[in-house]
Amino acid sequence: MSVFDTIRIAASGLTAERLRMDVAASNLANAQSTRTQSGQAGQPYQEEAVVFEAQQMGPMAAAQGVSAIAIVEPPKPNIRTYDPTNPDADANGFVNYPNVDVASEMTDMMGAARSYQVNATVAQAAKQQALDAIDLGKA
Amino acid sequence: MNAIGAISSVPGISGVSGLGSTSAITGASTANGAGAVDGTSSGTQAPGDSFLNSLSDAFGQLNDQLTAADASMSSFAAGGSADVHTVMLQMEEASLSLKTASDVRDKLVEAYQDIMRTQI
Repeated sequence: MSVFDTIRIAASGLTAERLRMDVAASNLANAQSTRTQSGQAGQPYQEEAVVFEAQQMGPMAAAQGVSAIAIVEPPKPNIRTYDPTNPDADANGFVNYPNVDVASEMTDMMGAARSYQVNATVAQAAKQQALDAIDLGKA
Repeated sequence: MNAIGAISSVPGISGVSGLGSTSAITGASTANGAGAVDGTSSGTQAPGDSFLNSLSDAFGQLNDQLTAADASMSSFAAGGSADVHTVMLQMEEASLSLKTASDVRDKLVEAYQDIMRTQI
């Protein structure tokens, strides 16, 4: 396999971690959104998660990149808070807040950022390897 | 991106194919380096292919990579949806290929000059 396969696998990881970061940002930004885009009260934003899948890249079956195949909404109950003054409160005075756990979203975001760094380091190492190989030809 | 554009407009390696007429040199380069080069060029080489053919294949691939890097760079500059790392890695791939190609060229020219300096 060529050195470019390594770089492409690392690039697929970078793209995947960017998406994971986007999803974490979306979850964090919408941690208090009591309405979805359709604007219906009582239906808060739902937490999203990315599903990754290994995918063969290049001629060797062992060399697998990653690709995001779906964004799912894990079945978790909404957080119900008693707040009768909220315009989105139901008849009993309860407000449905999104099922986003901010602490675990923050951990996920940090994980995505670190994984991005890891993949960038792999790409860097592959590039250095190629440069070393080119140097072999120098007198 | 004019520089890359100019490079990518180089049609294959027609300038170098003049070397093919001096069969002694072709023979020498084939004996020295064809094995290594065949190994890198995706294994689709027929046994009869000359060193220059595989060389021009490699230059065709280089051309493709430079064009791809050029395209993703201009789409990024135009505000397209391309990621920074995609653009950077594509440019890095192109630059690595270009480095390899220019080193191969240096080796070729060096070998040619060695032959030309032969005392008669």
